[in-house]
This record gives sequence, structure tokens and C-alpha cells, in this order.
Amino acid sequence: MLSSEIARLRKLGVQGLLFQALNFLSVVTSGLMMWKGLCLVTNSESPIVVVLSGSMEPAFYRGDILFLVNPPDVPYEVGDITVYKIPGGDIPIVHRVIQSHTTNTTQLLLTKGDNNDGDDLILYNGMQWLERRHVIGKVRGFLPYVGYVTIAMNDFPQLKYALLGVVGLFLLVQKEQ
Amino acid sequence: MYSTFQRLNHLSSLATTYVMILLGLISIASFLSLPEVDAGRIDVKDIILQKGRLRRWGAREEELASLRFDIRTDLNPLLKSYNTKQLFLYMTASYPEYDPSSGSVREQHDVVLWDRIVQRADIRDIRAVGKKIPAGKGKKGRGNIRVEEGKNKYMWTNPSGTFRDVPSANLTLHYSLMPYVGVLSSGIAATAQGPITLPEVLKR
Repeated sequence: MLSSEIARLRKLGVQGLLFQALNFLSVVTSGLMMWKGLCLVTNSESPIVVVLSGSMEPAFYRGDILFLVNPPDVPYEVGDITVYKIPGGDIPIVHRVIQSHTTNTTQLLLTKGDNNDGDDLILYNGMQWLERRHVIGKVRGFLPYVGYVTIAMNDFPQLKYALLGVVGLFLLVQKEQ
Repeated sequence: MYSTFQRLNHLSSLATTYVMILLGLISIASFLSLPEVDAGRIDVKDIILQKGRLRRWGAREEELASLRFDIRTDLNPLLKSYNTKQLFLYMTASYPEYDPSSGSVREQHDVVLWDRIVQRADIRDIRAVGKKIPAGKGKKGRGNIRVEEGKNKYMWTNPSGTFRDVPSANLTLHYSLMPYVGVLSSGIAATAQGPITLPEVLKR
């Protein structure tokens, strides 16, 4: 099978190879465009996230996918499940807002995981309150299990490279119908 | 003709597409057919204000409010909905804090005082909270939420450390519905009859 593929690649020539590479690039860029478009529509820097911890069990388990929105000019409310990122910490955290203190200019938030005993003050890296600029978005939609693929890829990086390699190879080798 | 690989590829992509369409339809249908619930009632039994320290040693003394309350509400329609995995019930106190000099609202506060995870499996009759309820009293059955003399789970404090400029607060029980798949929704499950007033600080 492999030798026949190589023979076919030879037959394609430089122009054919370049064309396949172009095909590959257009797939990648359209994916990126869709993602960025979604970012614009939802006004969130990361509109789809995967749950990484068990602190919101039994609502969200590791590997569930969450769809976020971040409507501008709409303050977050108590009870909203927000995803936030603390400066200095790199993992986004999915927790529910349990306190909101709003003045004319600022909104201070306190969050807590449904499955945790205490609130998130210790996660805030020395800050007393969470502010809007730390929040990526609030959860609007939910899709179970699917995100486990990315967790598996993070836990086993070899899997990621193997998958990327295989996909790339197939895109390159695939014959135009 | 087609190779095994192509057939497999085609089949899996078709299956994925159809499952996604089905899940999308389920989420839309269950979101549109979400039932209305009548707001039940919260009765505040007792509320006290005292001074104390929270969190750590050496923290400043602040005013802590604690209360006892009864909740009666029927969330049965929500639980009958097929796409309900869990209800998260939370009781909030919502209150403005006034500026004593100008009399205008300085800060709007919303804090959760009590919450409870209600899963589909253990939704029978929530009576495990607070005082034991005598048998035969009240409606029984799925989704009939009844809390007798519940206590606030989280200490009620004000960021300024005092409730001096807070004349009254509104208590509301909200639900947040987690679906098996699809859109999260929320609403009001019970309300208190009118705003509650905060008492004087207890002397020690």
C-alpha cells in the first residue's frame, strides 16, 4: 500500500504536491476562521472549553464540553457559572458566582465550585475579589464526554502528535475525487 | 471501487453528523418546552446580627447575619422534563447599601446564603434539611421541596463589615437547571413575602 502511495506521489509531481499542501492549509485556516468567528459572536476569548476538574460535579465532569458567551454590557449575576482565568494561573476555572457587589463603576465577584466546601478566595492568587476582566464567559450550553479527547491528548502528548501526523499524511496523500 | 478505509470513514462521519443533529434537536426541543413553575414561598423565622471574625485569626471584626427559614415550593414540572440532569437550588439575598450622606444607592449586593444540589436520582422529597417534619404533614412526592428551619449555609457578611446602611434585603430561591445536553436555564423557585429587615447588632 505504502509503495503504491509513494508511486502516486511521484506521479503527482511538484505542482500536485503543492496543490495538496494548499488544500491542507485551507482546511487549517477555515478551522481557525470558524473559531475566531465564534470568538467574535460570543465576545469571548475562548467560547468552547473542556472541564478539567471535578469541582462542579455532579453537574460537570472532567471531559465535558461547555459553550460560553460573554455578552458585553451585561453584568454577571449570582448563580451564573463562569469560567475565569487568574493572572499568573494558566488553567481556566469553571465555578459558580456566589457573591456580586456592584457599584457604579465596578463589579466584584466571588465564586465557588458546587462540589467544593469553601469559596474560591484561596484560588485568587492574593486577590480579594474576582473582576469582570478575569472572566472569560458564562456557561450557556453543555455537551457531555466529547472533550475527553483533548484531555487524553494532554495526558498523553504522543497521542496528539500521532493524530496530527496521521491527519496530515492523509490530507497530503488523499486523491481528489 | 471503494476501499474499506473509505467506507469506514464515510460511515463514522455520517454517524457523527446524525448524532450531533439529534443532540441539537433535543437541546432545542427541551429548551423550548421548558415548563413554567409557580414561585413558592420562603418564610424567614429568625434573623440575628452579631459581631465576629471570619476566615482567619487577626481578621477585623465584622457583622455576621444568620437566619432560619422555611421553604415550600413545587418543582415537579421541571423534574418531569426529560432533559433535566440536576437542579441547583440557591437562595440569594439581594440588597442595596445606601450612602448615609447623600441617601443614594452606593452599592448593590447579591449574595448566596444557602444552596443545594438536587440530582434527578435523589429527587424524591427534599426534607433532609433542618428540623424533622412530622409524618403526614404537607404534600409528598417528587420535586416537592420543603425545608423546615433551614440555616444559612454561608455566613452573610457585607464587604464594608457592617449592615448599618442596609435597611432591608430581598430573599429569593433560584433554580439553575443542568440538562443532560443542551442549554442551561434558570429561574425563580420561591420568594419571600416582602423584604426582610435586618435587626440591631446583638450586644455581648
